[in-house]
Amino acid sequence: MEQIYQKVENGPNEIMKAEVGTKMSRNLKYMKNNYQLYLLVLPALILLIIFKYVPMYGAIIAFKDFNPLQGIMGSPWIGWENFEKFMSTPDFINLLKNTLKLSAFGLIFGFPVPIILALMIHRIKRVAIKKNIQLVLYAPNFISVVVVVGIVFIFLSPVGPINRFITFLGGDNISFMTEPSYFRTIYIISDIWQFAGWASIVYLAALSNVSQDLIDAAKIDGANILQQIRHIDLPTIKPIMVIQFILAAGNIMSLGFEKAYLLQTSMNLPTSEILPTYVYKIGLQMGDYGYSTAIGLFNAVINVILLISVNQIVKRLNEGEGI
Amino acid sequence: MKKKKKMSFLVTAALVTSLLASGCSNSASSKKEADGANSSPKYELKNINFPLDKKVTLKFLTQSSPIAPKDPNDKLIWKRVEKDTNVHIDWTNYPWEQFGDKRNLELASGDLPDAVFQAGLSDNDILRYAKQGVIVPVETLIDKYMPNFKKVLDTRPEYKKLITASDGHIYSFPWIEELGSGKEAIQALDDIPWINKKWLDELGLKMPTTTDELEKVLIAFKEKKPEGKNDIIPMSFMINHGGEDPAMLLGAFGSGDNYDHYVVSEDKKVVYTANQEGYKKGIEWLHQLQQKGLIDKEAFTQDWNTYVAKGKNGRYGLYFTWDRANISGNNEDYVPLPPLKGPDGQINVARTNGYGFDRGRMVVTSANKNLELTAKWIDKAYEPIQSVQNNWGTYGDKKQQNIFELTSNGSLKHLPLGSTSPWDLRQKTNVDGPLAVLDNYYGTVTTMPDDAAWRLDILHKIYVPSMKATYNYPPIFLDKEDQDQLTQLETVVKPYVERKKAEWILKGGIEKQWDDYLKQLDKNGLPKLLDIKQKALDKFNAGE
Amino acid sequence: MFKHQTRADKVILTTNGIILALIVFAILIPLIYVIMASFTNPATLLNSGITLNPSKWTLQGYSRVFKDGSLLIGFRNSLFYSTAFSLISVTITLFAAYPLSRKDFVGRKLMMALFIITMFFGGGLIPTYLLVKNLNMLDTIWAILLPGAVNVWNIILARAYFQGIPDELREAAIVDGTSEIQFFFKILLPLSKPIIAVLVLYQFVAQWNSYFDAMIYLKSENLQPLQIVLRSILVQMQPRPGMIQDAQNTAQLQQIAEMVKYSSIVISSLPLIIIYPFFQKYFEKGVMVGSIKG
Repeated sequence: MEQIYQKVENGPNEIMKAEVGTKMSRNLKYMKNNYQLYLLVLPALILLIIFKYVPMYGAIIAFKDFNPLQGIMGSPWIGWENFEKFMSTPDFINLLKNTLKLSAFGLIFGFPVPIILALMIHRIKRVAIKKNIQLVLYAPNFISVVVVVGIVFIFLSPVGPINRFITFLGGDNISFMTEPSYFRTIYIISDIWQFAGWASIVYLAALSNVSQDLIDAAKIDGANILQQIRHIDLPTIKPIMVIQFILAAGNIMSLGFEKAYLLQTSMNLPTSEILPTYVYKIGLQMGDYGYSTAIGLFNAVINVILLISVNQIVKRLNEGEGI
Repeated sequence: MKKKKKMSFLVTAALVTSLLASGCSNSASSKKEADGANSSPKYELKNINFPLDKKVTLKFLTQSSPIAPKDPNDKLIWKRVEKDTNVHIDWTNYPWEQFGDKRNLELASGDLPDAVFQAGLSDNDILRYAKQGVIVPVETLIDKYMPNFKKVLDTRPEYKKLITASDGHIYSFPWIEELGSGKEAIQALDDIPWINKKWLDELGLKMPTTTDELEKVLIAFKEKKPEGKNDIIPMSFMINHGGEDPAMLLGAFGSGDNYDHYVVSEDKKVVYTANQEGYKKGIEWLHQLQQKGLIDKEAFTQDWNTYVAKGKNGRYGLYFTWDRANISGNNEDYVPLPPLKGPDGQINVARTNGYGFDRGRMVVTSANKNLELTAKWIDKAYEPIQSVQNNWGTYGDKKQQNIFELTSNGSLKHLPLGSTSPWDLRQKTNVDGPLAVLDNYYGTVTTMPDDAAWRLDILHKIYVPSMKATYNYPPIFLDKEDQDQLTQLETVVKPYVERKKAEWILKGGIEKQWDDYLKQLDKNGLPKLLDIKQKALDKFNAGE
Repeated sequence: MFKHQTRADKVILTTNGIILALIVFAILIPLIYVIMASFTNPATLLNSGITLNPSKWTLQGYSRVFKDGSLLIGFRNSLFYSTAFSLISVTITLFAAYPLSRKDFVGRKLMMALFIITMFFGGGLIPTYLLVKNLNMLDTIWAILLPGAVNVWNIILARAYFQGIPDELREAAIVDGTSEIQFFFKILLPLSKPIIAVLVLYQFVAQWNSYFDAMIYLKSENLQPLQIVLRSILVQMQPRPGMIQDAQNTAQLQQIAEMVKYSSIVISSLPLIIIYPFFQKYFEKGVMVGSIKG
């Protein structure tokens, strides 16, 4: 590390200036020496600025009564009106609760599954079997949500296969789709069914990259599979696990409306009506971009808070590793 | 190769940034002229008569079916109109399923076309765009330049009321299709109950006339297994699904029920069907049926396709829909069940509030610099013979099948279509848009389509005589605040009402929960809702 | 001692296999349902379920789709969009992830913040649409390829991956006189095959399945991707509510619409399922030159 020598003449200020000067010129020197790194990050930055930051002025629509003839900047300012309107939605708290519960439970139950799947698939020796298992596991990812919901209705119908099985075992018919208490479970399980396989790819990729030396060494030390998983597999995918978890937490309010909307029936609304579906229904009538942008901002703020909190918690548990 | 990619990228980036700089100033301007590449220049045409001496172009935004020609000008109807008027329409045409989003975006970006044809605007949309100055009022245009449309409004003043906003302006051109009117309108009842005549005959049963008799018939269906079937479903429906909901049966208990749960009493008061004593009794009766195993287990969750599939297999004793051909086919296996007498001896068929009327079919934007031209062009659509074609299809097309033939006295006659799907043919050949087909056109300008005539006949013979209500709730044009509030309130009230309805039929409990239910309705804003609707109805009836 | 472990291992492996088999079974059933549903007459399907009775089978769900000439165009376009998009996006992602993975990178925190902010806050539909319009990108391929190319989630993932590669590797390279860029291309990337494969796969599929951007920005028929074509074919057969329709044929059309729902999935996902095995090999045993970690 180079030192930049400064003649300290007039006391503490000069020292601080010297230190600041040192830091700045150190940085500049770094940037000069490593200009290639900056070149590498440039394309992403440029696209980012153009397509994400330039349009950001439009977020202001949330505070305006948008008039297309006056453009975004020229439309009249209405301050927090859209937010007030949103938060005075009848039943707002319930809608918010339903949204958070659905999303959070989805995260908690859905998060470990791709990991477990990856760990399991990783242990399959025969390549042909491994390939085919993966193909089957990935396929549901390609089915549209409309069809998945259609399948859910058919399978869970009062006269569908699941109920036939239950009555066969002597139980009573369960009306899955009309009971509010089943909605979340159905939603989350069908999500897992559809996406866990695909989501496991990234973990599998990391696992496949483990050094063979490491594995051999462990085997020689007498580690059984469970121990191998604990000491090799898990640590390998831990960084990715952490990232995925934090990012997922930061997406809790980004639940789409479509699936919940399709799974709604007259009777399960107490749990199936979430903020996005309500906004969609209102939006159909009101078509107000300012309003929907305001809602987007509201969601974004909650997401950011969650992200930062979860990041802090994870950092503390994980020796400072987070985002 | 990677280096080259980087270089070309940097160049593109530089290019992009410079374009951006010019673009940025555009969107940042505070007052935008409702101007743009999307509207036509000012032609300064006055005292217009068609055909024009020199051809001019107007630019319209529109939507059509995915199977219709991509350029609407390929349709014979538009070809003829262009010839008659010498006005060329430059269409921006989007498929149905994308149109909503695309229309909103194009209007929001400020680049307005001359007009939007087949605009599909809700009342909220119309009021909002009117307030923002995106669309312009047209009542002076109607008075000055549109004799055909004026004649329609003079013949039917209620339509004029319906298209006039509370500020006295008219902002859109409507679609009007009368098939019967008042109680005889084809929309008066949508959930016709179809009962299995084959089974009635096989079991030697008479057509039920009271609710008790219906119950006995359904039980007989269940126990006696007509046709030796093992999978009989005595009664099926799709709860809360419009024409497939069993609301029609509730008429036997009082004022009945319909899709939006509003009926109008004889003293012109708005009544909410779902908090009436009669409703309570009717729902309780349906629950009894449920307890006796007479209702389809899937009635509370099934989708249209499941409903249809079971119907096609002839499993239903009784089901509900607009037209039986949808489900059990165009045969006499199922016939309409006449209105039943309730335990109190009441017979009633609740009317729906459906009208063959669509308010926001076409609007003129503030970018339009040729108002007289546009108005006169639109007026052509209200010519009776033109309206009929725009709505259904045309005649004399040598290249494809025709919906009509032109008779010797200049009227249009619906042609039998053989195996062609009329639906398909209409999508390909009609143009929709603003038009008016009035009841008195049938028999003079055109014939009535067969399926409509048949259904009108059924309504007339079987259900109209039992429709006690003289009035229903027309599609009144509320002002913006009322409309917004109405939307907000209904989004809470209606789902609650329908949820309880389904719950009570399936699980019972209506008697016990009734009082709490009424309290909850009050909390959810039902009184305010009724107030808004009542005030609007009063104003409408006063003829303002 | 070794033998003992092997038996315990065997138990675990067998259990593993059984559970996986059950999972595969649980997934296969609905999948098979989808495939068979695309061949089955919907009336039969909804009444008695999938049937092995060939007389109830039909190819109408497929013929209706293939009859539409735009299907091939949709395929071609989606192939192009997905390939180009994944190449552009993954390249930019990897480029950006490397500097951001370096702990000594000056400006790292600032840039990370810049990137992450965009995951939450944005202008929304209108300003983005206006921007694309002002850049004259409307109705061009660029509207599909550029705006979504920077995916911050992917950048973070790639960064995490790079962070997992030991510093000693780079230090050794520097000692040898390699420049950053040379290190990146000649050493780092070849070691990153798994993450590259994952990202390309994810982006390719995401683009293949996407609908909204194309719907908003594209107009010309010959630019339409597969999803838009499929959806429009589906919509053709669903009559609009409220129209006094001609019931007989409506019912028929709706039946075909039901089948098209399923056949669309099969048609749309088959190519992907076919390509996947080519990516498969990058997930196999790693390429880590096992010299470093001790």
